[in-house]
Amino acid sequence: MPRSFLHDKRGVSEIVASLIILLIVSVAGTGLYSYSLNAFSSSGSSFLLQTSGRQERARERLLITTVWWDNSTGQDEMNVTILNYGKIDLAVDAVYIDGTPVSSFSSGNGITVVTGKLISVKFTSPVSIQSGETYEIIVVSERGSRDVVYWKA
Amino acid sequence: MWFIGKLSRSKRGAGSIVGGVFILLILSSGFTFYILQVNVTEEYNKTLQDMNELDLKRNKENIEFISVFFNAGTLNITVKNTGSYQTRLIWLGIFDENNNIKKYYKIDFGVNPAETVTNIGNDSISSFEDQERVIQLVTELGNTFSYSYSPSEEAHTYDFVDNNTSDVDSSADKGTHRLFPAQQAGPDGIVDTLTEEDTGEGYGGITTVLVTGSIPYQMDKDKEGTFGAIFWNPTDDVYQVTCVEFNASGATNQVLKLGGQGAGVSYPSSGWVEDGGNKVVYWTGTINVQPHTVQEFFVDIKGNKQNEEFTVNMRITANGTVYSEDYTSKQANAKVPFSILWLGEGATPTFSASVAPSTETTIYVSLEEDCNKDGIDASGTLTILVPSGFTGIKDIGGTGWDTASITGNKIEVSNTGEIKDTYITYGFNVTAPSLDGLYMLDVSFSGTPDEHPIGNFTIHVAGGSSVNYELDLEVQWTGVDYNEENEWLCIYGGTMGSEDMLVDVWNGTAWINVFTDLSSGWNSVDVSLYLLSSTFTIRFRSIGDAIEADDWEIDATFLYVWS
Repeated sequence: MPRSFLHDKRGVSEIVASLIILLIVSVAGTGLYSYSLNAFSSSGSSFLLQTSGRQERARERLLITTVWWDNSTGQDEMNVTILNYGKIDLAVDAVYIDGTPVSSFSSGNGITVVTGKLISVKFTSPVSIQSGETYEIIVVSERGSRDVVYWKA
Repeated sequence: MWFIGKLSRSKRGAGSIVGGVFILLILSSGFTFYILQVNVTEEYNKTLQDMNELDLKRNKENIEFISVFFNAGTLNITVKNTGSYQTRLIWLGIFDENNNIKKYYKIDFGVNPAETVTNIGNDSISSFEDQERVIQLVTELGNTFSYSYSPSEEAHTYDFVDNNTSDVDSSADKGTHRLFPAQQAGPDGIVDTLTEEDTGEGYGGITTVLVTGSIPYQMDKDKEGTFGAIFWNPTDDVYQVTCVEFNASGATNQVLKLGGQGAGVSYPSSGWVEDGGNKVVYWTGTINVQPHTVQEFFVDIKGNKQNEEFTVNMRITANGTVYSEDYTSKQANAKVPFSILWLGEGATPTFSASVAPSTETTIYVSLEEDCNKDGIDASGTLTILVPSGFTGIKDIGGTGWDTASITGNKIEVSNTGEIKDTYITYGFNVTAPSLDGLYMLDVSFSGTPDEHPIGNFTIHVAGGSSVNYELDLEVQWTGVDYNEENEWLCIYGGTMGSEDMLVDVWNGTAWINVFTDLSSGWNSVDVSLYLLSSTFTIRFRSIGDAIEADDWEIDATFLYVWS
């Protein structure tokens, strides 16, 4: 007559050992998977963000179409007209005259310019403008695109 | 019990399976990330490629200012796209540099490569006709093109043609305008197409009434030979011939006597008489010469024992007008050859030949010695000038003739033996022109002892089409400023037909040609010699042909005057 299941003690230790091994493998696997998922996700997000920024900058084009200078008030007021001829909206972030950043904007900077439109950026020149002299004017967008002109006052 | 036993038996693989599943999960996550990265990179590269293409197009963009002027106070800029790609003009800048005022106006003009666009402007632009400005055009691709406008430019006047209804030469227009107003603006790519029409006046060759013939050189002292005359009627009218004369009244001696008449000897076969002074042999009567045909006359005339080179004035009176042509002949009071030329290969002289258009035909020319006393020596030269329009000249030859030399439309061939009391016939092949008409074949012979007969014969091309596609369209200006120092006629051509397009100006009495072949693009010519009044007329003209109705595109026609 066979022994009942409850009274048969043979092989119990092996089952317990197997279950313990499974538990260890599962916990280790879950941890490893979690870590790798986190690492991939983090790396992917970083890559996407970086590429997206580069892509947007690649689609950005700006052109300085004309430069005005008004010294009637003795303030060297400048007016730079910029065309957005890229495939994405842009905003002017900074202007440099002969390498010196403009700090006193009257209007135009930070304003979104849709593609195909012009914007007039007015500011006071950070360097003294002399009639007949040539100046390097750099306009930089918020994404880092830029255009340079050599303008004769 | 069975389950416990199974579990017990497979315990060694369970951990590996669970581990494998996790490894697969990790790998699939990594692969997903990789695919995402590849897609993003591809998209980025595509963006770079698109933008590079845009930059390339931008670098190849070019716009040229053709003209800037005000029309009734409205700014009118004409530009041409000389770049490789379509350009879209999106901003127009007007800069007043003196007052430091710069304004941009929104515009929207597309200009295809090689296209010229006019009327570029903006209604809201204030007039600056008498002031200097810098004009800047901004393109969608990010280029700017500037032009300096000066007030002196406004003193230049662009006066576009006013009408196409004039008829200064009392000659009906030939051809059609598709859109004449297109000439009155631009150049803007909107063109007037001028197309030839079939005038049904398709005749080539000789175009005016005249007389030619075949006159012997030299004549025996008392033997007779054939004198031939041809009346050419290339007009649309019937001419009535009432008198035909071989007139040597300018000769010193009495050199001509009627030698004979009758069927095969003369045409008309009767009615020929000689005058009492033996200097004129003539016929009177009535013969109608139909339009675009010729009528030949011939008669036997003999010498009168004179030694003289003299002029034979061939005179034919038709419709009351005398048409004449002088030939030189010579008579010797001796036994000399009687040399004469005619067309055809038969014994009966003929002076015209009919051929079918655009068909290869054999033409025969005969040289006769007609007195049987002395022969024409060997090695004389027969020269034949084939009329223009005939092509494919081939030497056929004939008994008594050497191999011909053919240069262009000139055939030269020598007789290989003496010719006495007979005629020898030379043949050549030509392909007739497509156009019906009366064409002149000039033949002469130069040989010894002193033989120089001349014949100007007719080749009558008939049976084809009289289709003739021609263009003759007048256009006119009225109220022109004609007192300026510089006065130029400017025509901007589009696609031009294969035939030459001529332009003539009317000087008050006649047409003066100023363009022999209008070109695509600008055609400009100084017309100050002809622009002498407030009305100025030109005509567009083609020579015409039977091939096809050509057409030409004219974009703009104007007078450009300034001092």
